[in-house]
Amino acid sequence: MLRAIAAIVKKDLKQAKRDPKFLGPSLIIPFVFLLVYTIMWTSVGGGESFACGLVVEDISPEANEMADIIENMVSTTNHTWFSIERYDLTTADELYQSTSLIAYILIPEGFGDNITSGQDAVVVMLINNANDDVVKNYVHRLEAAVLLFNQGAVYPEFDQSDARIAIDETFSLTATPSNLEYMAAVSILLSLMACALTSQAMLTATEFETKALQDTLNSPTPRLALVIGRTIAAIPRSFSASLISAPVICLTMGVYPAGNIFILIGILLLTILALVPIGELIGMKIRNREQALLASVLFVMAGFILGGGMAPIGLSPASVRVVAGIIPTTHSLILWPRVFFSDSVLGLTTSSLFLIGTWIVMSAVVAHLMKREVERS
Amino acid sequence: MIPLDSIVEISNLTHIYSGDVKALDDLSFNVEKGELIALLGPNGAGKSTTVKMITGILRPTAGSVKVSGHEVSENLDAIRKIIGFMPQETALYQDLTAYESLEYHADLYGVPREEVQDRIAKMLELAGLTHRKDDLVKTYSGGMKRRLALVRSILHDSELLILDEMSLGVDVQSRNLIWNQVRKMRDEGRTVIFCTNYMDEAEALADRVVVIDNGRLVASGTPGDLKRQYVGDFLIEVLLEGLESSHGSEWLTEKLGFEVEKVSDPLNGGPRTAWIRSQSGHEDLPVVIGRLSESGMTVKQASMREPSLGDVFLAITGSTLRD
Repeated sequence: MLRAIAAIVKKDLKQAKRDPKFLGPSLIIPFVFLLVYTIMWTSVGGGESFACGLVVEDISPEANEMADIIENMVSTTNHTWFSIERYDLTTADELYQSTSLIAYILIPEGFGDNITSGQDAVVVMLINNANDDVVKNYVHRLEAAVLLFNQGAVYPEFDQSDARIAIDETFSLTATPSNLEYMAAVSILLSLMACALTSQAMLTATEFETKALQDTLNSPTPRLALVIGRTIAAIPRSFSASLISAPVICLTMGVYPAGNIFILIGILLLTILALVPIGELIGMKIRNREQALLASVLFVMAGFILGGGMAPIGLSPASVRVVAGIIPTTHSLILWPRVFFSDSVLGLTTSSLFLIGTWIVMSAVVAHLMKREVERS
Repeated sequence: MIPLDSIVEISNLTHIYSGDVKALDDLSFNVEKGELIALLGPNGAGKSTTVKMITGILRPTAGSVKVSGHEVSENLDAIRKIIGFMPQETALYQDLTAYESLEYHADLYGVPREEVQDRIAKMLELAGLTHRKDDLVKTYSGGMKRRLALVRSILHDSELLILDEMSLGVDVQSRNLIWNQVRKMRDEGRTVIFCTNYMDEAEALADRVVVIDNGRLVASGTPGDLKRQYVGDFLIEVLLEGLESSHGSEWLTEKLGFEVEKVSDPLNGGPRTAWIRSQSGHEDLPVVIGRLSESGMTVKQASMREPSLGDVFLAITGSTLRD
């Protein structure tokens, strides 16, 4: 079996080397996305209407006044950065923990009493700070609200030393990237995803189109050897685009990974493993090289957008989130920026397991379909 | 009980494709070890379906296919090792060289490592591709690809060779080389089953011919036997004037006292050609001409020849288009 696996790997890599057209989408798509995102972010101002919760636990007039200011403040730009929704503390906290709320502001009990008694009053802001630009806007909004409440503090020399309330800002991560840095990082992942999926889809479609795969399928080679061989060959092939795109993106955008490089490579590896059998399935069903290329590019782009590559998906409708949750690209997009921008391994388990599960299940499906392909009833 | 010298036994084989298309209908025949068998039949008769059943690519809807005494569907991996299959489509990896293609095949079929190089060299020699062994397959002509596909199917020393349209679309030189290799394989003791639409190919190579039509076995035997049985030893061909368009082969048979296989029906209403079966050739020819003249017809031209397998094929399957 090892000999058959080695033969399949050798054959697949030779084919990839001699027909490297699969690299095209892997090198074009990420840069197109990056360009579009840069233009969009710099000219329009980024995402809109991220929901922010407001919890008012105090019933004093001061607390109501503060809440009114936060809710009714008019944006200083033409773009509404986020909306304010009132929740009770339990609901807000649940939504926050599940990342359905990117942030919430808490006006705690005793807020009004502190003001009237001359003590410091505190407004608490909790932020899922996955994106620096969004965080800044939440914080600025609250700062503006406090300034308004304090009446008299004027930007830029606002001085809160005599203010009646102060801000206690809580960040769950030590550093957050800007939108462009975030997009640069995920573009590297996007390049790999496009390469893994399109190269496998194109290879499989070509082999079915020319019927060349029939020789392999009709041989006594175990189906497991076939799946393992093709998966192993897909790993270096999928990384080949990243060898070009990653240095170019890092150098031109000035974005470098802060997290553990081995964990990052591990995430890329899991991504390849999960996407290769999907590419195989696309190729097997479409059986036309050009159409397989289009279908796989479409899958990658849809998966990237739906998985939160361009904007957080936490606030999208539940049905959309469910769909996004079953696409492996979503989980790669959860893992990649988390490790890319911080040296943390927390919160990686669920998505890693999902990618491994996708690999195993999809490989089994592909092996079964290939078996049926040559042993039809 | 399978006879010891049968390598393939097909019994009551039926296959129905999706959409209720019956490709094979209760087909039965055996292939003896060392035989060179031609499967003939019109397009869609079930030839390719039959070989796909033997190779295990398709599973029977009913009936059984045994190779070397083993039911194919239950012993696929073992059977694949002894079968060499060349499909109708030249299914080769276009971005590999001939050498790499054969090396890949050898690895998949577990050819002993120490023998791989020698065997590949021999196969390249057989295919006449030694000088092009390092060129990519996509640069080969159709004939070169067919030759490569043929030697690939015997690289793993297959006992049973199945060739589906082996010389489809190749030039005369390549066809000649392929035929010589097939004869050589038979001489080496291998069993060869081939499907073809070329009657001259079947006539030149086959020890035995199996004719399938509408998924059923309609004839089986050596080319000589089939000719005698279905056409006769000789075929007299006459160009006639005065044969009315309403009169067909049955009318003419009655008039002549010889079996008339068919009569042409030219669109322009000109002279008609009749093909008449004869057992004694030269003796029958003047009798036929005399009887035609007596019946008021003018013989413009007459010739006599031994029947071809094509005549047998048309006699068995008719001349109606099938696709």
